[in-house]
Amino acid sequence: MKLGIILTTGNRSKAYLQKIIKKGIKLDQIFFMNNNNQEKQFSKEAIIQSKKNGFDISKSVENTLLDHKLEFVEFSFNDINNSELIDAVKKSTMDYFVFAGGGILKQEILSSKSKFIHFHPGIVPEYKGSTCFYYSLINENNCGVTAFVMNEGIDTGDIIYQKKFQKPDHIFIDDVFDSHIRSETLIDVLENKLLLPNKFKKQDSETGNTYFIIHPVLKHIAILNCIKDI
Amino acid sequence: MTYQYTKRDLLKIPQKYQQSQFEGKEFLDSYFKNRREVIEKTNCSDKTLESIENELKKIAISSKNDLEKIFIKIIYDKNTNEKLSNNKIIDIFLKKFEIKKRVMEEYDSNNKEKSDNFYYLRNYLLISILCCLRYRETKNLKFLNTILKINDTLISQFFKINEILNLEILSIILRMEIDFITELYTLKGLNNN
Repeated sequence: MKLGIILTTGNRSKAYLQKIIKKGIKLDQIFFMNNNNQEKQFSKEAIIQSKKNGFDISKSVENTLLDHKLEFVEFSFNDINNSELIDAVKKSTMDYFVFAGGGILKQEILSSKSKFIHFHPGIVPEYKGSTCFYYSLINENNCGVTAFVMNEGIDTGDIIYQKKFQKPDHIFIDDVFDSHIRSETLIDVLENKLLLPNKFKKQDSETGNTYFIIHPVLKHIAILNCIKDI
Repeated sequence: MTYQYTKRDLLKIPQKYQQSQFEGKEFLDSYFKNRREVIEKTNCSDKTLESIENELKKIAISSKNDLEKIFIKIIYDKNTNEKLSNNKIIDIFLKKFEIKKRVMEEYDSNNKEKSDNFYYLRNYLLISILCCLRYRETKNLKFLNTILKINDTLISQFFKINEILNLEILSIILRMEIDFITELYTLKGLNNN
């Protein structure tokens, strides 16, 4: 099985790449969508928390790639549906690409031979859509990640693996916790060689809930609930 | 701290709520203050869904807007056999609002836009009531999430709400919203911190 990854400059890509390197997992192809956006600056506390969670949020994807002398193909945009990237994907011989963001995949890229794996921060079908971890943290005091093969629906692809996580004890949910839980699930899938199509589980796209971006009031309740005992 | 999500005209420039910052418990205090101030300004805090039923039903009869008629019918519909299809309509319009942060004045029978006027505030008020009723029934946070966003939008239009009935509905949905948030906050044990 040949495995590739499509990276962006975002936090999720930082966590995916750094943990893959730490675990010594081999990537057969790396595409890097580098739109040269200025790197976000993080607080000292957020950086410390990310390091506790096994990655350094202050280290750019580009620097990680260069430091480890990894070969990669660079694109000057951050758009998963850009024709230049689609051409590269269509020419690729990868069985799977790990998707790390860059938009919603449209039919053209989905029709390529390679499959795309998404690590969605919610246990589907109960938690589909956006910012699901916050809803789950309020409802259940925990949250989870689903690894699935992407299709045209929103979080409706065949399930590879699901993993639950305890609520965090810090406030850096968007920047650190989200990337941490997705990357931990990615490592589980790769280390345990779970990319076995005959073991994937089909979803009933009609069941469950689809959530939209969480309102700041609910977000605050979710985060305060995480830190109330510390 | 001032609650910032009702400051600008949210129908003119919709609020996407992406990557909102955590600002501590003070943020929730500012939210409650914002809502209570608007409720006070409406001067309708004795009104309930029951007390405005007759007035809304009269509108449902006289209105030329089919969507408004449907919404009012669902709000006061006691026929449980129709609940399932009613719920689908709520889900459809919840999704429409969440995607565009706007609702048009009229839609056709396939729920496609029939108008480009998104300043018809009665629709937002009625959808907010429907979401309140669904949240009260299911406790599903997706409804509470949309209530908060629609109500932010409505407060951002407060200076345009002239009809008494619309002010009464606004007062009702804001009081319901505050009750839901207070209940959730208490349920999570946050009122002791």
